[in-house]
Amino acid sequence: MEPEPTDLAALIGEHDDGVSLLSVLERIQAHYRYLPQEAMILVSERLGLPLSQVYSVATFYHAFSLKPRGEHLISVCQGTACHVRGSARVLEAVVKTLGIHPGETTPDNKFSLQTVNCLGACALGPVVVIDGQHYGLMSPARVGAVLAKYRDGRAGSDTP
Amino acid sequence: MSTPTPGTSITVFLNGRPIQTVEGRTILQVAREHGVHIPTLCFHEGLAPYGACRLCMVEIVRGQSRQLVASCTHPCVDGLVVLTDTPAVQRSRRITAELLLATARHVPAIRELAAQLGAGEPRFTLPEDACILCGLCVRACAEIVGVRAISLVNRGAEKRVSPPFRIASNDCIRCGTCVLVCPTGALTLADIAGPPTTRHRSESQYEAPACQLCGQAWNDLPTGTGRSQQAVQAQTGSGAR
Amino acid sequence: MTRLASAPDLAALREMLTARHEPGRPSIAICGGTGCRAKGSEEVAGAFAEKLARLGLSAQVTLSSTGCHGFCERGPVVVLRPQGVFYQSVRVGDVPEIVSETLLANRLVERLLYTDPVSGRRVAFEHDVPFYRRQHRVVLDLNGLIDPTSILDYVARGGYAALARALCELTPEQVIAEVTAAGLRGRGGAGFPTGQKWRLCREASGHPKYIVCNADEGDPGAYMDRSLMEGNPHRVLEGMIIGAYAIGASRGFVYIRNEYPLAVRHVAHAIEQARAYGLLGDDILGTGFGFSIEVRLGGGAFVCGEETALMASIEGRPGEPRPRPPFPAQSGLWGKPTNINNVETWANVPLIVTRGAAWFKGLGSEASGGTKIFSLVGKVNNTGLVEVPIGTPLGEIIFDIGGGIRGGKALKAAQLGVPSGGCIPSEHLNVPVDYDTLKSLGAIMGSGGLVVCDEDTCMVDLARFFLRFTQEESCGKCLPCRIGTRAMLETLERICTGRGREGDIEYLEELGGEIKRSALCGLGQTAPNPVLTSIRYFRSEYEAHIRDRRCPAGVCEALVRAPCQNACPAEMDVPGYVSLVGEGRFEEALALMLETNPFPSVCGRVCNHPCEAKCRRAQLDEPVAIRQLKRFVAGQGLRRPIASAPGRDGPRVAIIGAGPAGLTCAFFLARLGYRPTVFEKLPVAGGMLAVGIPEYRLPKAVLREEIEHIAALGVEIRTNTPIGDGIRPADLLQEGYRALFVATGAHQSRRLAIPGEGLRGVVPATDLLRAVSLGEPLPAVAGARVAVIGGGNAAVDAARTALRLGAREVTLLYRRSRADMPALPEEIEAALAEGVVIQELASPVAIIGGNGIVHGIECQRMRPGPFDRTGRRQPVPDPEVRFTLATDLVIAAIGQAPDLSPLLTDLGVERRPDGTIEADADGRTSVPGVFAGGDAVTGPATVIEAIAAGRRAAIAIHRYLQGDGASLWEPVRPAPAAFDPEAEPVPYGRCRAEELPAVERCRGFAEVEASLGAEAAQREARRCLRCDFRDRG
Repeated sequence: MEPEPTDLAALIGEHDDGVSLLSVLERIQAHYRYLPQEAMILVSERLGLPLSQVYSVATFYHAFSLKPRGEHLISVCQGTACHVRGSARVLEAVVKTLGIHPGETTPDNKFSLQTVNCLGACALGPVVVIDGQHYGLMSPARVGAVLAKYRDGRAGSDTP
Repeated sequence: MSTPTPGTSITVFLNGRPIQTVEGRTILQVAREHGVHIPTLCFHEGLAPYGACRLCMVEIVRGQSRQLVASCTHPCVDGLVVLTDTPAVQRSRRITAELLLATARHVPAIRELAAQLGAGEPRFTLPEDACILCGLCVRACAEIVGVRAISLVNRGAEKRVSPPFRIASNDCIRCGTCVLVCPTGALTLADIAGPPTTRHRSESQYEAPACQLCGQAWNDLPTGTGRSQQAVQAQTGSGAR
Repeated sequence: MTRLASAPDLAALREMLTARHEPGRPSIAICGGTGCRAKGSEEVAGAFAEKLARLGLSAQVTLSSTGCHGFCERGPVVVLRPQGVFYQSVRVGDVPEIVSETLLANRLVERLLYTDPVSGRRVAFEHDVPFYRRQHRVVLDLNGLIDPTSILDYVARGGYAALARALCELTPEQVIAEVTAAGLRGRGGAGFPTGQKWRLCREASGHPKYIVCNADEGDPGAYMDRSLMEGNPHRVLEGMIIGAYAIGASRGFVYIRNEYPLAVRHVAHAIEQARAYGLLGDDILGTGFGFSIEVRLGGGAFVCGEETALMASIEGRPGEPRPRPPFPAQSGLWGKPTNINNVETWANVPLIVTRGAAWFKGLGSEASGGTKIFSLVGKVNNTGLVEVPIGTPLGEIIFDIGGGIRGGKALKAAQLGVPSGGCIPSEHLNVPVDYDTLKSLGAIMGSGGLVVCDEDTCMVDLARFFLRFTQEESCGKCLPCRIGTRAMLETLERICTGRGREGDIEYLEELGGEIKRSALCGLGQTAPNPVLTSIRYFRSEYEAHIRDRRCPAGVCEALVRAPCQNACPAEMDVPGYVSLVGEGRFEEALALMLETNPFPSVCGRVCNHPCEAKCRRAQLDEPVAIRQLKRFVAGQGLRRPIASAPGRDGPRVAIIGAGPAGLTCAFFLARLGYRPTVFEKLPVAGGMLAVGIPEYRLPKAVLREEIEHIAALGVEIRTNTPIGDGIRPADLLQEGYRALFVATGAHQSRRLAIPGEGLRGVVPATDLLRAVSLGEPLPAVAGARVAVIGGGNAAVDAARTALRLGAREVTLLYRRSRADMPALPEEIEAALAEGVVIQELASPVAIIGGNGIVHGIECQRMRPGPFDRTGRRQPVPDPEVRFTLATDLVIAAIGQAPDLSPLLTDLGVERRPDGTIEADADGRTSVPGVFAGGDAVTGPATVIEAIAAGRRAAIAIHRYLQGDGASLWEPVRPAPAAFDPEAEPVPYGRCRAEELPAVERCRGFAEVEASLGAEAAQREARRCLRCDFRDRG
């Protein structure tokens, strides 16, 4: 998605006293699924912050990505409770099925994979979240079927 | 510092020696003023203390308990008891030096420092990298020169010094202060600067950046004799925020 | 929404709401916390709304989505009030029934009720559910009651009354004094006294002052703060406003991690509502005090839970911590005095102001008042949020509230304060969970994450996991954290992949200690804790990884070919033979078994199958029936072609004891070309297999056949030939035996040491079982009332034997709870089915008799007391309760010990205080040429351990006699069975073998369990997931 100057300006909003750089970047990230260079430059100018600071913040926090994320974001919880219940093997299965590692996006831009540290749904561990939908009690055996739903565009249907 | 009132006269005990000083000074400052050597790497008189290298640790004693603190940032309070060369301190410095050798083992200055602190061949190594992330270059660019052309990007093991987008910075004025202040020779201007363009700044907003000390803008000489370098060399302490 | 202009306005609003509230009005509360939502609670709520609308009941019934109830394991949770009926695991399909049965007809829907796993009773009401009953929910009290998006719900239940009291009746100093007196300590992990923190900020000079709520909750495994923010955000806000008043702050921030979208929504909504009601903003409640709050989002960086990094983030900079001092109280956000507290800390403040410091202090321990919320997660049965008074023993939290370990496994350790905390092993379950007591054990309270680990958790792997986390989250500013923790991580990676080196543990200890002391911030300073505590309490696990290249828990992939094989003491190639059975290649499977175990028929009946306990198939349905497969194969009457070393006239070796250890040693020595002679004191060979294990579990004919196979290799077995007084060990060496293997077992029964033991009618279990096996005279059992004392396999064997001998009744007395009995669970169940009565928590104190004969046994009732070092509750006498059981025969089965006195003095081998022989893992004793193994070395243990010891000793003897480089026999190498890694696992469950019906069993000693048939065995074998398969692609 190429950033439109007017869209961007709206996302950045009024830069009154105390506006949060992180909040602004988060809005841009949510809208474009990444932080385009032009956006960061505009933010730096509008908020009166050095570009190097904006870039530091963009690269420090894992909430942001400088490359476009895939259509579907798969987050595999690597929290302690999930780990103790075998999340490492679930992650392996996802990596194998998609052919990408955490932090990467599939060549067809369909899936991005990331690991997260504890989503706070520990009773359901191991947990995988896809586009905000929680899949609990995951096992390597279930990975294929769950991912297929998104590949076939059947996502959003019932039964997690 | 519990409600410090800088300027109040206090007594601290440095290796057993009572010393008169004023509230608000750091242990490192007091030590240097009284000829007590504490090794440092990321400290510079002209910059605010950063506390990253952890070489300047000293022991402070409070009743029965002892604690290691970073002398470059720890403030003096009345009655503070400081020991700068105990076995605990030496152990700490030795291990820190050994960790420095993990990446910068090929840098003569680091090898020498490590030898002085008793570190042998490192038990853990990473690919060689002269940059030890002391932050001096970034801090000098921000606090003395004021253009903030470079910053620390990424985090953790991926952390490095870089201009925005890893391309030549439009804000760099090629004053060379960063190169001068780097303790390991890791930094070269070629990594940071390029001819001024507006490639990554919007046309309407572009203003040529300039050094806040001398007002000099883009400087074509590789290491000029701008006032920023003088500031660094003389360690006058000016330019600190 | 009308703005409240004064405290009386607020009181009036509350009164009006209370008056409007109809106590009998039915309400349905559905948990809307993230955990339940993930299980579909939103859809359930929707279904209720629809159903009520269709029945025209929407106006009469209050339907609300509440915050997290805490019992996340059983979500979605639905509570119907006013009765308080508690339904768990509710699905959309259950809604119509709940409405028609419970709401309209006041009847319970049984299947949705919580069932207590121990008693089997169903519990109808919320307040009776054991998970809740043992908690003390004050901070979480409103979580299941109110709608978190409704400020009126909160006000109706007393919300904001504390704020009114603070602003109108107390000075800021008084508020601080109250919080200080209450003993509230920071709930985020460090436990700094909150009142003191507030005072420092109040006294600091600078303006404006700021308040921050640290809602970053990055600890992986902790979600208490999330539930508070989702379920009762107003309480957190109220605490912050009170704090702002006390400190003199005018602006506040709630910094919430971006991974908590629901919490963000609820807090933001609550702020808006509070503003609209005049509880935030200028002139709050007309007092002139003004305070505003904003939400700020985190960016996915755990380090931003550290105060200075958090502030950097709010200021729009990377989350790099700053050195402290100066502390935020003096110089925080934008250089101004700032007070930062955790969500839970803030939530406690209104409670202190309304109920008083004395109440709060009284709730907790000496050093810290109040309660703490823990997220109890991991391998525990009742996963969820638990609120208990500070100082509650750890064991109570895990067992009494948590319901113990999933799957009945053994607790190994609890991780607190992950990843910064440390592990507490099962020996310390009595530790009161309090800030200082935990520190002394090397752990920290942390924010409340309590991760329970069981026997299947590898502590080295877990330490590596935490360090990976720390490395990923390290900001990278300081050297010790950035590079030091990486050095530790790579060392752990090496250890977990079989490349550990001597000195690695010491390196981790040294480096870890220095990193703790020199890192810049709390993240780095605590990063080594999991490693250091796991080394402190589980050093042997590290040593096993490094020296033996073994992972005892069966986790580290590089060291574990398959968890079953890894768990087998004899390292049998389980996936190998199971897969061969799956292909119908029974003879090859048998040959493979015989490579490590000459007793597949025996083990196929009596082994305690540690392999099945680790079988990964259990994660899908049930473990593969590995023991049954062994029995099936061995029972096919197949040839046993044994590969052995050439030359059958090798040196002679003497073996003392023809039990499993001795005979196994003989078997492998024969394969290596030796001529073993086994000396057995009893008239039959087999040791405990022959005289300990009853016929109905292991028919003598089966044992005899297996021993004959061993003898056929050239092993001489001389029964009725004791070694000791007659033939002395020295004689044997003179006669030309080149080495000795002592495997005399442990047959000496432990004395009860109670009055009356000498009466006629008191018999050691081993004596009874031996007499039955050998056909010797027995005490009078037929028609007798029999009491068996003990809880192990010997006790259960004796009990079931007594029944078969015609006892009128058999009672088994065990001093601990039934769940703690060491006997095999299947044996205990069989005993119960046959009519044995188990009296748990009963300890005999005296045997009563008349005329020298037993007629009763007096017992002390016990109750579970504090936890002991094994992690079980130690039984303590219940002083008031004693009872007498009328008995004619008392069978003692409280343990056995080796009895070797004359033999051992002769040999001169070193012994341990308990009488066992001192020997290493390969059987070497203190005397060269003399080896020992089995129960004589370990004390009473399992058959498979004895077999494993025999095999290791045979190889050790071979190397002793022929040098370390001596080669072994040529191993069998069957072609691997085929396996398609892409194929789905077969969908069917475990095959069950036939058993004699319980009523028929006690008529005699016929074998109870039958074998699987060939087809069933093959089907069963195909359930194996082939964990040994490694992708060669």
